[in-house]
Amino acid sequence: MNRREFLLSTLIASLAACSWTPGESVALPNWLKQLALDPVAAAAIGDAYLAEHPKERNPRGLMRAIEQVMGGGDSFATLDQVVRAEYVRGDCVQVKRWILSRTEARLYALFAVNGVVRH
Amino acid sequence: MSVFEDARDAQDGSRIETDLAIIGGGVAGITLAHALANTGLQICLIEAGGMSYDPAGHALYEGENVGVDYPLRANRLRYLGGSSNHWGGYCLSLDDIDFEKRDWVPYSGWPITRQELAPYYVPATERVQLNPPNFDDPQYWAMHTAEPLIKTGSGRMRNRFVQFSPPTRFGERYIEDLKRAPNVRVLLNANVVNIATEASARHVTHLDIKTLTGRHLAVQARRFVLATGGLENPRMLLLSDGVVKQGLGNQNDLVGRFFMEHPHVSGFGEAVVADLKRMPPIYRERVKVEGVPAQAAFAPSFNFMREHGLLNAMFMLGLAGRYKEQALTDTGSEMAVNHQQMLRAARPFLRDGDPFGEDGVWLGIGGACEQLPNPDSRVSLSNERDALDLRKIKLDWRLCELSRRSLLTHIRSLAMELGALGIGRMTINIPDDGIWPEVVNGGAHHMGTTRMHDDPKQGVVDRNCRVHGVDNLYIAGSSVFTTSGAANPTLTLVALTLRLADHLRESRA
Repeated sequence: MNRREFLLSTLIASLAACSWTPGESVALPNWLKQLALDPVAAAAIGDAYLAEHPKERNPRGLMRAIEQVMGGGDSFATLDQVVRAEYVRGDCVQVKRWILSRTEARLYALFAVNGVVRH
Repeated sequence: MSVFEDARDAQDGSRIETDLAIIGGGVAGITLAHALANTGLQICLIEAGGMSYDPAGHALYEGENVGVDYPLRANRLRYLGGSSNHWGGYCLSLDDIDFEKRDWVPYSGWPITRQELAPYYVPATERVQLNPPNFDDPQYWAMHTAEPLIKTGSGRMRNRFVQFSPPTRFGERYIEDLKRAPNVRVLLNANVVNIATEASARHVTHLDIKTLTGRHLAVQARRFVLATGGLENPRMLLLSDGVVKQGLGNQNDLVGRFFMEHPHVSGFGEAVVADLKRMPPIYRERVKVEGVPAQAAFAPSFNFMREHGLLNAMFMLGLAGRYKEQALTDTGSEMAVNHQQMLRAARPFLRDGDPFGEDGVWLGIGGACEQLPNPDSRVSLSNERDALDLRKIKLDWRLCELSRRSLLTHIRSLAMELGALGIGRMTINIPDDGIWPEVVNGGAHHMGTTRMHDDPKQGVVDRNCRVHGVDNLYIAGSSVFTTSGAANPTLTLVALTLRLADHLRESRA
């Protein structure tokens, strides 16, 4: 990382940190709210991801990151395609020893920081 | 009818004359004797043990470890049938790439191709009671299991299919055939203690044999085949130092070097699967296909290995447990809680339809990796002596970084493949820190110690398994493997032995 990239990443990180206060959440789109996952389990994994990536502890930033890779799609099918494609590319992280696609890990992190809503 | 004799009952100092002497009544030796039964060749099959396990004879397998700890005694059996008497029965062929010269794998490149060996895999499968050697064709397995198979999509992995021999216990299976063969003589409890040569060391004259009861015999033959396994074959050559001090066939200091195993690491990962419909049974258990149990395996693709400069490997998954949908409580093990959390979090990605009921299953993963040929990984002789007053074996098994890195990379590829296919999620439980886990086991696969190469400076035997520089001594078994691949070696060593049988038959004149 050169000096410019370092300064830029520091700026983004500090902006991200300042833009979120504990307890704040984002409104999840309907397709995401309807996901048949267990939010408690997802949040447990998401917490572990955020422990390794503390700069991402921001629900709006996480939501934005997910929406960005979905390219305007607004369905689970799109998310599933994105996640599978990341596994194909090897765009993965390791969380609690699990190999997870980056977006999948961010999804779980979103459930961790956004508060758990039981279906 | 053939003759089965116990060397302990022979007259001391007696001499047997034959056309072909086969040293070792294990998989290779019995395969060779069986292939040449009922021909014009007079054969003497010399087995160090008897018809069943004997502790005193087995103790002759003790030795010294100076490298990675290795169970020299537990890994082998010394009676008719040899180590097939505790064989697990895993069978598949080596891959094309295993035979190739790979610029990222020092000392790679067999002098023969897989295509040259392919015709011998067919009768080899018959010898170990399998269906034809179809180990790589998903269409065949889809048709015979009536299940759509997994289409790997990342380019990293491919399917292979393992067949399981009953397993064939070669002594039991072929004893009657050998007894019926008029040209086969079987000598039991006969320990070869020296391969004697002419003064030039270019021609073997006879074998010196000794029993644990103190009898001495000699077997004189026109040709000799050493078939005592990947550890004893080099030991026998090194012990035969009456003319050449460094050992027979060891003029280039290669005998015993390049010892290879398939490094196995246990507990390196687990997989969870929420919907078994996404994972056909043959991927998680043995399924009978035309009467023979078979199971799918995952192996790295040739392209992936080439692109990343990696060695071969193979993984198989097996159903280990089921998780009912129940509360995650503190009473569950940490692993179980971890598995259930993952199954519940990833549920939308891993299953269709009703999300309730069973959470899913977890699967254990077994795997092994090719070992880099390494001249410093070697068999030599210890200064300790056994009950026959022979120097014991000394093994220095060494692992290398490329094998470790290949194994870790392929484990990661498997995890990504399961994710890409929406089948499951997988853990990796060992760190990628440049260090092998504390416990690494072999698979009782002893390979490479009398490796095959056309150049005598790079191999102990030539492409016909004849010892370089000795005109009538051949070697059968996995000690001739130039590289190990990742496949279990028995089927390939049987195929190579059948090829040797053809060579011996054709070159009789």
